[in-house]
Amino acid sequence: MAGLNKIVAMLRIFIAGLLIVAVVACDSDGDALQLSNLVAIADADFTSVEISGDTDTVIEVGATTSLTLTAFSESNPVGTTVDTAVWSSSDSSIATVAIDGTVTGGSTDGEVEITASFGNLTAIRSVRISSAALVSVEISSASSEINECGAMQFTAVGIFAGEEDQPRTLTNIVDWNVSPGSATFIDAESGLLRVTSGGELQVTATSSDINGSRADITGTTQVTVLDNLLAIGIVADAGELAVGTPVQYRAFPTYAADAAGLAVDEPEITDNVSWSIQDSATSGAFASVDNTLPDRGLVTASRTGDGTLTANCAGIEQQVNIVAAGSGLLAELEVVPVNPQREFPLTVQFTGDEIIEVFIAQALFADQPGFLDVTAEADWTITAGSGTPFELDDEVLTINGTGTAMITATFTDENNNDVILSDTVQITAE
Amino acid sequence: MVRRIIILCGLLALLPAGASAQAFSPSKFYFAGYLDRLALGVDSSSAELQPLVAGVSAGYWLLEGVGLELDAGTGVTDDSVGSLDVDFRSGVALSVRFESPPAERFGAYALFGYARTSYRTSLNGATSTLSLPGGRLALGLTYGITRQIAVDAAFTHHDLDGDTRINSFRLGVRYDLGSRGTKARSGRN
Repeated sequence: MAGLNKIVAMLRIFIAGLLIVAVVACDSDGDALQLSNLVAIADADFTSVEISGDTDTVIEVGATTSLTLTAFSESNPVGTTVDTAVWSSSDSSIATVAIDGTVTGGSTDGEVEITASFGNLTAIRSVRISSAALVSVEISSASSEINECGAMQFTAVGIFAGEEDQPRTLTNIVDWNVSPGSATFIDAESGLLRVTSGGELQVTATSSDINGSRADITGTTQVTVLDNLLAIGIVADAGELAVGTPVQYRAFPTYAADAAGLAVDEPEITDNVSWSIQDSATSGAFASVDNTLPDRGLVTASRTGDGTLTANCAGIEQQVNIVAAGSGLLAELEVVPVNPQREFPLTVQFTGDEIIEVFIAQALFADQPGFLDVTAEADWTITAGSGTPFELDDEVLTINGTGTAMITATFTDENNNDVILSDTVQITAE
Repeated sequence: MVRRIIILCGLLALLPAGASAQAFSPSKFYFAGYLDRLALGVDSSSAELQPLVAGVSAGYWLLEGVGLELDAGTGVTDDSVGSLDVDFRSGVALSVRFESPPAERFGAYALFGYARTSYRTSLNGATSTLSLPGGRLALGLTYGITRQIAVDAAFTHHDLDGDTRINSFRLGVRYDLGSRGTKARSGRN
């Protein structure tokens, strides 16, 4: 009975210990994050931070906007996005901010300061919450005409009741659409329109209702896609395409002079053309080209070979020849005995005891200074008369009598258009 | 915070209840001194801070092989990452010790507890004091030199919030006032 009581007592203490750990493990204290951020700052030598956002800092009641904190150092002027910033709002009744920097407007008009702290570095940005009603969405672009196979950035601004003189940028808030949708693509978030063929297009930007207090509000504009693409030029970033090393190919347009007599050479249209590769060989493709953003036009060769790269847009096509060289062309294959004192043709004296000879297959590649052992990758075969006392198991030859055999190693370079080399050696047992 | 204090008080009240099978005796106390090499790291950086901590602890054997102990330590050396200097100010821990009977003078033990460590940081002239509370788990070995003195070595892991982690290796000497383990350590000289 006393023993049972002791066990029960020990169990109670053990459970108490576990509970202590469980309770304090839930203990939340921002100091751990602060220390983590301080170490990160010191390690990367960050000297400043800045809050950036993809919208104006005036938002509707109930709406949200995303802010990000970027840290900079002398060696990293472009900056690094900080995921562990501590965000706070100066007045949470006007706007709150989540741990990921998302600001949500409350039900009260006003202005708050959003603070982001990263270690001992701090940045502040003002955000104004306004209940002014959205009256209209206006779309603008650099031109009402867009070159065939070109791209154009559209922007949207919102006009609010009582604040007509303070239009707000809504480009990254509205939903973008274009019709007809064939041969066109508009990024639903950024308003970047890419087109292929000519015609009339209608671009719309819609601000969806946030609070259930109004209908969706849509802005519309018309844009004409010119029928003016004359030719496409293809340029490679690197001079030589090698197996396993992708090369970016770029497409540049040549346009007809417009009505005002202006000859236009637009920036590259790499992301708007359709890319394809035709392999000159009949068996399998030696290379592929990416047709998805952001790697459109990126050619990757999986083996040596040659073919044609084609860029096509609006019926205009351009081709260039591409050749993929191997990273290590197979130049020579030879079979040598493991025993360095042996030489081919090899003659051994059979005295009645079993003889075992082991061979190595070694290959010489064009880009390697010496031979590489490919014994395991090689195919080993033997040619000997029937009844001869030879048995080959890969590179291991067993001899149980007298006679002559031919041993052949064959190596296929799968990275080099399946180039095959072989070497044959003669073995005689006397 | 209040909730945590209430729960901890309840747990502490539970411990004597569990130990009620044995009467209180001053000879069940034990004391230790130790050096603790910390390894403090964060997920966002490969840098690691390694301050050296000196500390003492006092414990009481609630049952044979089950002790309740209080640790306190302070930094002996600080450490830095780039321009960040981190100074271990203080640390306290309350733990329950489960220790096996010694075999050939060796004993193994585990500690479950709560620890709060305090640091002073200095980065580009800006200083701050940070407190890191969290659970603590230690696994260690003791080696009995005499009936009352044992060398104590342990690996300790602190369970903290966020991406901060603290592990440490501790080496110390423990002194039992006397009565504990007389039967269990009968193998000693």
